[in-house]
Amino acid sequence: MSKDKIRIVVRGCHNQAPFLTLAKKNAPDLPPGIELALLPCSGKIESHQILKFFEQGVDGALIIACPEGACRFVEGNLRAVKRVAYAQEWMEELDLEPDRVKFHMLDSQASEDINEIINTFYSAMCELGPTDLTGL
Amino acid sequence: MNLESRLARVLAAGHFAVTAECGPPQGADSQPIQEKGKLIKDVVDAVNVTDNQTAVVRLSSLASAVLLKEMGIEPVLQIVTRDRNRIALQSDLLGASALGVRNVLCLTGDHQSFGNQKAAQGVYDLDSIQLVYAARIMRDEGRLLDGTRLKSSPKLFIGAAANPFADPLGLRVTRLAKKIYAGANFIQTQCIYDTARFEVWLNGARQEGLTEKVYILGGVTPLKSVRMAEYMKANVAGIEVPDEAIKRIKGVPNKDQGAEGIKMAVETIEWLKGLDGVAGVHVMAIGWEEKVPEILEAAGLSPRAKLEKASQ
Amino acid sequence: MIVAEKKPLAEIKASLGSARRILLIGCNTCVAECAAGGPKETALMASALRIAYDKAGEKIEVREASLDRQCVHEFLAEVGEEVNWTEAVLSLACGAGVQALARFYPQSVIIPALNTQFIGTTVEAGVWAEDCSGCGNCKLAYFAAVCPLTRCAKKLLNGPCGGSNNGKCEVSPDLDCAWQMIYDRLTALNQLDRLKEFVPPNDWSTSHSGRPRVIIREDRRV
Repeated sequence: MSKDKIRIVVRGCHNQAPFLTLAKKNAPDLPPGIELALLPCSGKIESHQILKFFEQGVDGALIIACPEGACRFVEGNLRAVKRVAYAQEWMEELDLEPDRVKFHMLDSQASEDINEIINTFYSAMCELGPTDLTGL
Repeated sequence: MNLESRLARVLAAGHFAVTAECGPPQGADSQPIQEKGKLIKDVVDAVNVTDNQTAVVRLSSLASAVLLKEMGIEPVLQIVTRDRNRIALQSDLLGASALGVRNVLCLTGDHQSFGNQKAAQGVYDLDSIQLVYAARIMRDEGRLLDGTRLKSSPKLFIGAAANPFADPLGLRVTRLAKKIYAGANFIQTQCIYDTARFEVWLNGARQEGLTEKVYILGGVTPLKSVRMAEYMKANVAGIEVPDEAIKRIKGVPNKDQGAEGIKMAVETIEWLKGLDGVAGVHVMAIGWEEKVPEILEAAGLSPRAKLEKASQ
Repeated sequence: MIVAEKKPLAEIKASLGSARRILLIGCNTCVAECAAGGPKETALMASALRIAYDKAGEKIEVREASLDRQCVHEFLAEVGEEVNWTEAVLSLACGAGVQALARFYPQSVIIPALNTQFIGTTVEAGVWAEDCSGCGNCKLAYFAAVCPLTRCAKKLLNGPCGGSNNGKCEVSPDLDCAWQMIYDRLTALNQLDRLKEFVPPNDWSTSHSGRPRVIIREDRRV
């Protein structure tokens, strides 16, 4: 499957400066098919929203959260990880690869390159190929 | 009272009573229960027949009790409240009496989730104490739980169980008192490995004057192996096997562990015989009925026939 | 509250059969609190169904609605138009809500999306426990406000069975022994003597065992 057909969504906490910058720039350095959006906190993500992405034809969803212990809302990132896990349970029930949803908590040194994290996930989704959903 | 029960007569005469246990088979054949009966026929005063123990479907306890009775063995019919409501339970008490069964042991029963019919509805319309109460008013007052007069009363020597090893310890004597109040004539206890805890419970019962009001038969189950001991400790609800007991049985070679278990059972019986307030022993040799005569003989409790004679 | 849990998707799909216009109706009361049938769960179920049918190459139309109380007839008219459009209604309410819809819409196919479990409590976030059996004759005053009919696996009224171990029930190590709780509370309240009283057999005629119950209050009728 050619890479340009793969669509992924990335949702990340706006308290992460590198992600905020990237999302505001609209990600010119990233391949097409990647849609970025900011969350006021990763804990804002809901399982039903994740499922909705796939219903609409997305092939992968990446949630980026603040490091452990660094959530501005104390436990937003901890809630997010559980919601992602719950969405993955549904994916399994729907016979969709749970790996299509990924939760990434940045490390506290903030030494990671956000572009690289997104690119890696995108490549993994390209590897996996598109879902067989029409997204209509 | 109830002199038709040999067990009642033995106890009333002040003899150290001996009961054993037979588990009915998982099949319609009468032979297995008869064979088990044969093994212990002459060495005990009465034989308990378990009622779908561990919630596994087996030949009915009432039918098994009658099969034993036909062989000249006096049955103690175990009845659990797990599977029948008060209509069926009271009906079975009448039926048992009509068939000549003179002893009943009223139990709640192991939870259905332990058995082979996990999807079963657990009835628990009555609890064991309420079943004791029902049996007592049927016998002594000639009426049913709702007050309906019976045309004739069942003749039953009424038993209940006690587990001195379960929690909370503070309620164990209270439970015993309630069972006696409800009408229990005799008590068979859970199998004893933790003698210290048993004595705490027995002392509590003595202090409340309960040992004067009821016959207590201490439960004994011989351990076949260290594996069985460890299994019981870890998996059987309400059974406490102290580490010392496990250590002791572990201390002998595999092939001698059964013999050691029997030795320990014999010692427990000897100890029970010396306890003030204990009126007998209830041997539950699960799947090991052939060893019961040997155990009882070693404990100085054979033969039984003489005892009956003495009590008549 | 009434606590419920979602059914497996495969079972729901099987129940929906050939229906291709499906209306999901959530309920904003109990099942929202226990995260089984509130608006979020309704949205999740709707997405899941669309994905499931899309995957199977089948076309369906799924609409979503939510009622404040599916078990109260006054709220049910709201979705009349949508119900008329649908070939099957998938209710994310408790069993009472499902049947209320069926009473109100006698011509419509109504399918449950949830397994109704019990009358319970939110013990902590994400944990719900069964506390009441609706026996019709509350005995909590006698048992230090811990219901043995509901919380003891054997419904014992006269104290713990022989399987109570370190405060846990013989049925499962993650289940608290109701009688240990009653014992502890009565100890704290200095009312332990209460446990010495013989409790007679329960009168089940006030419970569902008697018959399906109906309460009629003339002062509330129109």
